[in-house]
Amino acid sequence: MKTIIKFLSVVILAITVSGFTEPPHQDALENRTYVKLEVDGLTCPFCIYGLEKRLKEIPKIADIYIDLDGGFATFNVPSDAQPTEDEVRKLVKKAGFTAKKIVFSKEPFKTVR
Amino acid sequence: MLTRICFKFYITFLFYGIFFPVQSVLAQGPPIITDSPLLIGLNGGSVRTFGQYTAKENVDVFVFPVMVPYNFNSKFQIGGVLPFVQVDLADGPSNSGVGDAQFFVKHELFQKNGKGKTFRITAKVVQTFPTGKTSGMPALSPDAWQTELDLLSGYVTTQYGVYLETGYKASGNNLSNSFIHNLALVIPLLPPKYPPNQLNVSLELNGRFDIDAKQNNLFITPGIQWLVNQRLLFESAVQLPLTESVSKTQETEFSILLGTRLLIF
Repeated sequence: MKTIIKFLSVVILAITVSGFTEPPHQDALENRTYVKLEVDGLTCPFCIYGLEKRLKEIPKIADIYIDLDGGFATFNVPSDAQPTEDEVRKLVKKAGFTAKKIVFSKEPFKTVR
Repeated sequence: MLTRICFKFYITFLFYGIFFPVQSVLAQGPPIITDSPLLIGLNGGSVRTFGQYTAKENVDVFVFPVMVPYNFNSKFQIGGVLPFVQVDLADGPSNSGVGDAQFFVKHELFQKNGKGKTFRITAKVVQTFPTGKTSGMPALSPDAWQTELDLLSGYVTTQYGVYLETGYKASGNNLSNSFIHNLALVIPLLPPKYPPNQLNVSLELNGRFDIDAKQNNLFITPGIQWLVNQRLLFESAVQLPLTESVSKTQETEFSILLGTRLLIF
């Protein structure tokens, strides 16, 4: 009886845990490049709006996150559509800001949203 | 001769008094009246509307301008303003209709960015065309071509913004030319985030020195702005005179500014 209860507990726990775990997103299965860029000049919500609109010009860009306080932006793109550092800098400049350090990574960046 | 000079000063006061706040539609806020050197946020064309009610001792004015700015890039912007104006003279007639149209050009001259801060200087030229109704009483236009050249500067951080606008306005039809001088301090009350839900308080000094009349008019304008989201903004301010070089009967008691700006596309 105890064995059955232990078995059922494990099964229920496994089902519960799997229920809280999001299935892998389609994009996560792709080979994606994660980009983090420091942006100088971000001072207001409208600044973010302007920068976001420019970054959306990058083909297949996803998960754009802009941190006004931190002065940085993150996003990801399929690795085969990865923009060059120069292209990213030009877009930031077109938005009216200055791109500083740009990091390309195969791992997502930890950001507190 | 004296009557003519008095009439000129009266007309100057009346139309500057009425249409002085109209320039605030050009301010791309924050702040409310002082214009900002930051041309960012737009990407191509948009439409901004701004309703404003100004109550003065001898006249009530409602101005509803439609402003269409277009950014060629983040440093160059052109635009036009067409206002609807209603003027109600105290114990007198009322008139309403299209006011004077304006065309403006802004070009950013200098930009220095740091983390969470920026300093920018922008040049602005505003041409006012006498398209407003001059028939009827009171007239909705001084019937004068006016050209204004301004220098906008601002040091803006995520914690506060300081803005300075200085300019020269040349006017035809016997209106006095004037120096424009506006200074503003803006402080966001809520932590910055996106999509925005921001509350700003501002304190402005809005001044105009009429050169021909040698009159200085300075107003203090505390205001509040609520950015509901990236498209909608509500704002309100009270304008109180600090110095007004006009006769006692023409002095402004206060002005109330209520506005909304809507980014339609």
